[in-house]
Parts: sequence; structure tokens; C-alpha cells
Amino acid sequence: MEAEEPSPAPGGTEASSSPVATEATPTPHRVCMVCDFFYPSMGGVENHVHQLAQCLLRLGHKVIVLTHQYGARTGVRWLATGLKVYHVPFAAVYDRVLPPTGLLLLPLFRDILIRERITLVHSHAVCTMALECVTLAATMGYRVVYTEHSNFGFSDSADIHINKLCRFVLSQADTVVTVSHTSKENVSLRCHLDPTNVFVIPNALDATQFRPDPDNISPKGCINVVVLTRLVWRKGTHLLVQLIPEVCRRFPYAHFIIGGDGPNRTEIEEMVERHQLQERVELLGAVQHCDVPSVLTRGHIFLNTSLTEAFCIALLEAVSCGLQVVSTRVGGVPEILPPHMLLLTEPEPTALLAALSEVITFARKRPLPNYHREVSQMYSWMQVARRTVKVYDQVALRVRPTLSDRFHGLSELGSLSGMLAILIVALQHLFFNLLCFLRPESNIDLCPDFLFEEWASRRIKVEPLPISERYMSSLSQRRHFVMNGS
Amino acid sequence: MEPHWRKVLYERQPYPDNYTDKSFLASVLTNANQVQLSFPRLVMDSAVVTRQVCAVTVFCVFFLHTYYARLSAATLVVIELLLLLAGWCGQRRVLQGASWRQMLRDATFASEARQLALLVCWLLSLSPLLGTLTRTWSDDTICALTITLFLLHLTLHDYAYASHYTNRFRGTLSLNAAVFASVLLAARLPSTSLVFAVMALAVQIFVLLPAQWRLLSRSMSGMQEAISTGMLVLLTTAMLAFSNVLVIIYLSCILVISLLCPWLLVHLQHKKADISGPWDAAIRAFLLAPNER
Repeated sequence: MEAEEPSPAPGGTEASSSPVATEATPTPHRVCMVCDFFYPSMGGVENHVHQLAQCLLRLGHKVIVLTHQYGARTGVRWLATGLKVYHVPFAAVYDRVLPPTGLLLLPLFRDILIRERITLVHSHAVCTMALECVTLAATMGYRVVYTEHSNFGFSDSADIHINKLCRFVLSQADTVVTVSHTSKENVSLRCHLDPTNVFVIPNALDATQFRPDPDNISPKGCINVVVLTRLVWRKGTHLLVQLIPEVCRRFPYAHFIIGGDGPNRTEIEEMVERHQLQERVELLGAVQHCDVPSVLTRGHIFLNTSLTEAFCIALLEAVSCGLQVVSTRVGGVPEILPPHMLLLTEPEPTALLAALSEVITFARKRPLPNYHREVSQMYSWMQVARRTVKVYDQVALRVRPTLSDRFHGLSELGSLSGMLAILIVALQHLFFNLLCFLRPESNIDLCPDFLFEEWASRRIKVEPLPISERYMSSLSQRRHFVMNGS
Repeated sequence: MEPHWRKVLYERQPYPDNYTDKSFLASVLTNANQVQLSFPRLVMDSAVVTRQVCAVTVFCVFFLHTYYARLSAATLVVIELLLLLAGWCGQRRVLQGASWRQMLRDATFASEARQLALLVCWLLSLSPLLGTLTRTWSDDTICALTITLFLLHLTLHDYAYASHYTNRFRGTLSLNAAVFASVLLAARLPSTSLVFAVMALAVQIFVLLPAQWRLLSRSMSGMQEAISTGMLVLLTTAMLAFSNVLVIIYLSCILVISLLCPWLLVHLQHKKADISGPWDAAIRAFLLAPNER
């Protein structure tokens, strides 16, 4: 199906392709990405939304991002290549997520969508804003795509609650995208979705940022094992606590570099104290995303002890940096790379110890193989964007369900939750009609579009590539340039 | 012929992104970790709940007798001292096999005696205060609050700790509820000495007794435990014999806890659909962790 897709030139990826939009589709989509997690916050979802938005812009589509206030960052901001970000003035309460707003988001959301002449809303991840906007956008008659970034179980009371909520919300989306096949199984089971309407589009990485750098290995003369993760239970910190002292005892030349922060950091610190490993185990604390390559290239081996993962971009990044990866065989991890690039073990201390010992002994004898080129050919954000556009194209052709169809669908959610869902949708619908009456569409100004091609052709004389490697590496310093307020 | 679909992401395959293979959901398991529950075993396990219900009932019976002046403070204190002595001897002689002489010479005896003296002093000095605490409250308020608090105590009691499933005590809230309820009840009594006697009883029944049961149940066989719990139930029923209504309520409670609930748990098992799949957190790794959480 994707036979026409030319594989990116080795070494360089999308950055080396044509600088300006050349593939403008016959009907450019006008997309609003919605997610609580976005820059200046850093993480997998944030990165996904940003990269996807950038690539869609370069494919000639209109993209804006809707997120909430981050500190003093409210209102409209512009990121590079004309990506417009709306920070709605609601403050996050817990872990960068908004409290439920009820219907408060609707007036602002409606204004933004009309101003920007949006045709499609694309929500990301389980967060208040994304979930609320799915139902609000469906009420207003927009096309809705939702991308699921994580897996949830079925047994925990918190999981049951989230599944109930997601089943309601996702039934309102036109289609759902997941990042791995395992995640697709999970989400279709959790939310009772038709699996043929769930798409799998993996994450990707910008391989130009993650290059091997043998000169950066430090400390020299040791075999360095890098661990880069949030230090929480789900990421298997207790496995690390058992593993590290034993590895240090067996291999006097093993050195651990641990990046990341989290509630379980004290456990690691206690372990280091108890076994007097201050010289052998470095705790870096939280690592900024732009510093990740320089931390990764310090090591020979990357260790991942997660107990559950939907995709795990960190593994891709590590392999792309030329590290040998030892990981637990959980969730979507076995899908993302071929077996010869990953050493997978069962998530238990003895199996992990055996695998890690094997790799350390091997690395001591000869240099480890380097798969940077293979990885850079497997994954690219441009490809992700093209596959996403295909989903948009399909969704755009569908017939929108009428209100009574929606009510009928919602009544199947369950006796109590179905009633509740119908009540919510009915309230949203009433409020929406009231808004249409009080503030007719004709009273809302339309916003002129940012002309990316024109900007790029003027700009190209100063800076050869809009998304250059140089720009990417200095991402955090000048990620946004403020144009005069829109 | 089209190549076989594989569950991988690193390769573009000639299938659309929404392709659903025959192997979809193949790795999903239903009720993988289901344990076959046995009814007799559950009945035995429910003994710990029954015992706690008995403890609350016994306390309430003693309170009622003092409240209606059928029991004097002196008698109650004597009963408490006897119980304390019996418990202490039982723990030392039966569980640790110490001789009488050893028991008195032991260093812990001195510290235990000191603790007891301290507790008695505290209760004695607080009793006048406690006795007037709720003078302005109506009886209905006290009754409603006490019932709520005792139900809270029974719901939140750390049964996992009591039956040796864990070594970390998490029943602080439940203990506080019981002590608060006892304070409310004791405050209705007319004399300071009665307040002291009832509060001392509360400490014995809600603090010392569960600890004692925990120690004893470790060295008891299942049969011994069942018999002793049965005897406790009979004893409590006998104590309630002054009112037929109370006996009926009490016995039906015990029947529900120790027969109906286990029966329901066993017979509703087949309705359970516990879905697990490759996305679940690998719990095995957690179980292997040596340090208990």
C-alpha cells in the first residue's frame, strides 16, 4: 500500500527532504490538535503532538494546537514554522491535567474552531481537555479523531473508572488511532470499539537528533549502562534496586548512569547508600529532552525495566544512538524493533540479570553493533503524518451521525452510565445552541492563515531549512518566536 | 499472494493501518489467575470478622449493664484485672513456655507494668473530663454516632493484619473510631469511676484483645480456631440473653458473615470475567520483590 513511499535517504531523514510543502493534498485538512500535555511540558505525548503537527504543516495542512495555561504562558503562542498554539486560561490541578470544566470550555473552543475554520479535531491521550473536546467537537458537528497513547488494565478500580469514561468519550469520536497493535487490542476491548475502525500508527523518532557518538562515552574504560525513565513503580524501579548491586558485584567495570526523577528515586538512593555504590551509580535527576542524546551516547547499554509500555520511544532513541538495548518483554515493546536489535527478557530479576551479564561480557570483548541507519529508515515522523492524513481523508468522507443516532448509541453504554452520558450530551447540545443564538457565527472574526510557503521562501535565504538539524538541537532555547499577536 | 501479516511496527506491511488480523486478541486471557475458592476455607477465614463483631457486642453489653446500674465500677474493674491477668499469663506461659518464676523476673515484666501504670494514671486523670464531655448532647445523637462509628470500626478493621496476611498494621482509623465511640458512650455514665472502668474496658477490648488474638491464632490449628470462635459466639449470645430481639439480630449477623457471604462469594465466582493481556503490568516481578510493601 505504501509502495510509493520513498525510503528516506540514509543518515538524514525528513530534514533533508524538500524544505517547503510540496505534497499539498487536493483537500488540505484544517486540524485542531487538543491535548493537556504540550510544550513547555516534555514527554512522549508532547513530542508526538509537536512532531505530528510540524509534519502536517509541511504537508500543506493547517494545524493549530489547543492546550491549557502553563505558568504565565496563556493566550496565543507561535512555535516554529507557523504552528499556532492556543493556551486556554485554565490552570492544571494535577500532573499537568485540567480539572473537569463541565461546559466552560465550550464557548472558547467554539470560537477558536470557527476563527481558524477548523474541519477536524484530533485529541491525544487520556487527559481532561482531550476527552472533553472529543464530546464537544462531536456535538458541534466536527470530525473527531482520537489517539490513544497508553494502555489500561481491567482490574483496578481506577482503571474500571477510566474505562467507563473512555468508552463514552471514544464512542463519540469518528475514529481512534493507537500507537501499537497491543494498544489497539487493549483499547478496542476496553471501550468496546469496532477493531476495523481502530488504526495503528506507531510513534517515530527524529533520527537526526539521535546519532551515535563514540567519543562521548564517559567514564572511559568502563561498560556504561544507561537507564532513562521516570522513577515510578510502573517503570520497574524495584527491579533496578535488586539488579544494580548484583551487576556491580559481578562486573567491577560496570558503571550505571540513571536519568529521571520520580517518587521512587529515594529507593534507588537508599540502594546506592546501602551498597556503597556512589562511585559506580550516577543519579542525574530529571533530564531535559534536548539533553537526552548527550546522556544516551555516554553509554554502551540501555536498560529498560518497565512493567508495562504502549510503545516506548526511549528504546528507539537508544538504539538510534548506537546502544545495545536490554528490555523487559512487556506491552508493545516486542513490536517496535526486530529481535536482533533488542534483547528481551521476562520482567523478573534473575532473567534480567542473566541478559544484562551476557551483554556486558560481550561489550567488554568487542564493540557492539550499531543500528542507527536501520532505525532511521524504519521510523520517521513524516511517514506518521502521511498515514495520519489517510485516516483524516477517510473520516472526512463519513456521514455525521444525527443527535438521535448519538443518543441511541449512548443508550447502549449501560443503564446508569448511558443515562448519564445522554444527559451530558443533551446539555452540551442545548448550551451549544444557546451559544449559536447569543453569538452567531457571523459575529466571529475569521483569522488569516499563516502562509507557510511564503514564509519559507522568504526565510530560506537566511536559514536554509525550516526544520533543520540545527534548529532541532536548539529546540528548547528558541522553540517559539512571537509574531505580532494574531 | 500477499505476505503473512505480522504483529510488528518496524516494517511497513501491505495492509491498511486499520487491518485486523485473525490473530487479533489471541493473547487475551480471561480469568487466568482465578483461584478455586473452597467454602469451608472461606468460612474459617471469616472467623476473624466474627470475632471483631463479638468484641464490639461484648463491649456494648458491658456498657449497657453499667449504664442501667446493674454492674458496679468495682466489679467491672475486678473483671478487667482478671481478664488482663489471664491474657498476660496465656501469652507468656502458653505461647512462650516461660515458668512462673521466669515470668516475674523477666525484664519485659517491669516495662509492661510501667506501661500499665502509666495508662491507668492517664485514664484516671482524664475520666473527670470525659465524664462531662457530652453532657449537653442528646441521647439520640450519641446513639446514632456510636452505631456509625462502630460500623466504621468493623468495616475498616485491618483483617489482613489480624489474619497474618501482612505484618504492617493499617487499622489506625478503625481503632480511633472504636475509641471515639467508647468515649461517647462512657461520657453518658454518672460517676467518674464508671467512666474509668468502661474506658479501661475499651482499651482492653479494642487494643489488647486483637493483638492477643493475633498471637494466639498463629499457634492454633484451624479446628482450635473454629472451636474457640464458636465458643466466643455462644458466650456473646448468652450475654445478650436479656433481650430476645438482640439475640436474633446478633445471630443473624453472624450467620450472614460466616455462612451467607462466603456462599455468595463462591457461587458468584463464575460471573467474574477478569481480562488480562500483554498490556498488563507484569505483576510477577512485583511478587518476587523481597521487601514487603
